[in-house]
Amino acid sequence: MSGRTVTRRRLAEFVANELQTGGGEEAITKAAAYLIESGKKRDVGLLVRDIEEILASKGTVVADITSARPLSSEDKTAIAKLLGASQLHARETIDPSVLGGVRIEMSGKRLDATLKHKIDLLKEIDSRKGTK
Amino acid sequence: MTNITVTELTKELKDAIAQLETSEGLETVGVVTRVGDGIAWIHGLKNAGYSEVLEIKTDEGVTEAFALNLMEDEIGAVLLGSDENVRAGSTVRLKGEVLSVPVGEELLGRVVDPLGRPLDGGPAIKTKQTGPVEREAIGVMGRKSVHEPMMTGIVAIDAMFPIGRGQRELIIGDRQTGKTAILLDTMINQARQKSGIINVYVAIGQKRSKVAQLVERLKQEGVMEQTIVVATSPSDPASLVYLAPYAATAMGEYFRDNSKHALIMYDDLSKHAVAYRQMSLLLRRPPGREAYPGDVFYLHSRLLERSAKLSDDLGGGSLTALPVIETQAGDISAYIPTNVISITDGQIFMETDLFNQGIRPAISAGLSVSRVGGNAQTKAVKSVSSRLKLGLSQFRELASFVQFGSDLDDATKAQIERGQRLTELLKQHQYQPMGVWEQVASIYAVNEGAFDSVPVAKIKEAQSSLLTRLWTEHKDAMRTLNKGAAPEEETLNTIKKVALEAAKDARG
Repeated sequence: MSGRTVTRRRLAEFVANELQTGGGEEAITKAAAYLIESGKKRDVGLLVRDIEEILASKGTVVADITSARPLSSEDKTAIAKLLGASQLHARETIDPSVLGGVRIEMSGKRLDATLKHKIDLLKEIDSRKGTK
Repeated sequence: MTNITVTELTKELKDAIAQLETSEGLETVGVVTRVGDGIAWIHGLKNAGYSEVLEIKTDEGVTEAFALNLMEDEIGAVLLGSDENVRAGSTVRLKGEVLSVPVGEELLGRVVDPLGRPLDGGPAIKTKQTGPVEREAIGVMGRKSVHEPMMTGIVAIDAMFPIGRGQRELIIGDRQTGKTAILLDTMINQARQKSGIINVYVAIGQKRSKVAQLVERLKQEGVMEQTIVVATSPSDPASLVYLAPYAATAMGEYFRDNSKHALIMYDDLSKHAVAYRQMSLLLRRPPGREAYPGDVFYLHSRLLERSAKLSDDLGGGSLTALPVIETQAGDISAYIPTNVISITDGQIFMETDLFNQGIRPAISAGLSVSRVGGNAQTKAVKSVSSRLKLGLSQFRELASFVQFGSDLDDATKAQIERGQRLTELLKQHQYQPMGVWEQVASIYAVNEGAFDSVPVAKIKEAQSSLLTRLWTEHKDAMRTLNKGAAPEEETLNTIKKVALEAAKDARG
């Protein structure tokens, strides 16, 4: 890969393909080397998001899930179905301040079905009415 | 959850909940990766369109931006507000619409920013319609050639460089040469002549004090009721300055598309090009000549192409444009001036030397031109002004010989004498636009030599006397003349007779 510029998206596609075909570790090492060599270390976060997005389009979804209480296996199955994921890698966070419901964040997509979000929206609608 | 008790749901609350229910589902979001200088770089939102509005969630609410750079890896978006609250990591959503501004009659008499928000301290503006800021210009078959006059009330322009409804006539000149004064007089004339033309004045990066003065004057003259002022100041973000002419054009198009006539004045497009250059450089677009981006021609051509005279099938409305360009040291061959000159249907060139000599409006007869206005000139003015431009241009060429007066042949002397009187006649005080009859009578009197015996210094006095006498003694004939039809022989004879009497009085 050295010697010519590779766009971040191309790099992400390469790593995502390798991850799916089992050559993940080597691909990640190569991608890291490329980022260091081309002085793009700062792009690592964006590269990860790109990789996650490509994987999601192929059925492997990596998602941050925030809920007020631990999710049951039925909950996770339902979420995987909702996201259209054949394989769901969930990074779970328990946050009582969301009150209820679930917030799913994945690369480029977001679903906030928490009670706190709905209350915030209600407040927003109310304040908008107040300013009219 | 036990402390959340919703026991008494009012109808409003139920409605609000109903609104919430519609917003379910997985939404596409992006994230701000970098922000600064009014530009946000966004990761994600691959399906964003050009010029589409993005909503960036911040701690203080939502900041809007519009997408200008759509690249493989990221989006470059220009913020429509302050970048203070936008942070790297902020969530970005697509609003699902291109940038639109409120349009309609409700805007008349108001001073607004490019997003239609009031700047005059008045109530919020609620219009029935909105118009897209970026819109494709009317096609070939939807247009009609320019044929109706748009009188500015300035004799030098209406007689020598007539402007028609739907025309784009550039006002170009150095700073402090009276460019805005021409725009102001033109707006005042629309009210005085009851032309029904709506004025849209766009202040692009103009000092707020200057805009305040202009608005005050428009109010004094009773013009504000038929005027919309879209104002941006040098302290506004470049994005707003960039949007101002497009947003104002959308407001003007409303009238054009509803079979009305509107006049839009862009004051000035040099500052607009500078704002666009700033945005483009910050968006990392490659700089070209004078560091302007490659599409700076398209920036103005797509804007000015929206001014048009519509065909009868489309209602016959019109949008006339008077863009302004400020030159540096009279250099009209610089990049932006040549661009806009080639786009427009003519230009009125203002000369610093003339201005300093006291010839105001300081219009250069040699460098100014109106390419399509001839067909639109009022017949009355056309009938008396055909030789005016040539005579004046020849005089300006010969003017340097004035000091050798005694060595010149009689024909040249006569040409200089007539030229001096014409020049005096075309001088016009600000805020005093003239009607058709005043223009016809003044030009005819000088052309016929009625003022040849009047000393040059007393020409304005003779002109004033002529106009007063005509209005008091021949009001009906002047009213008829003011309608614009070619004057009858009898009317012309009356003008000549009264002019000779006025000349006699002026001589003392």
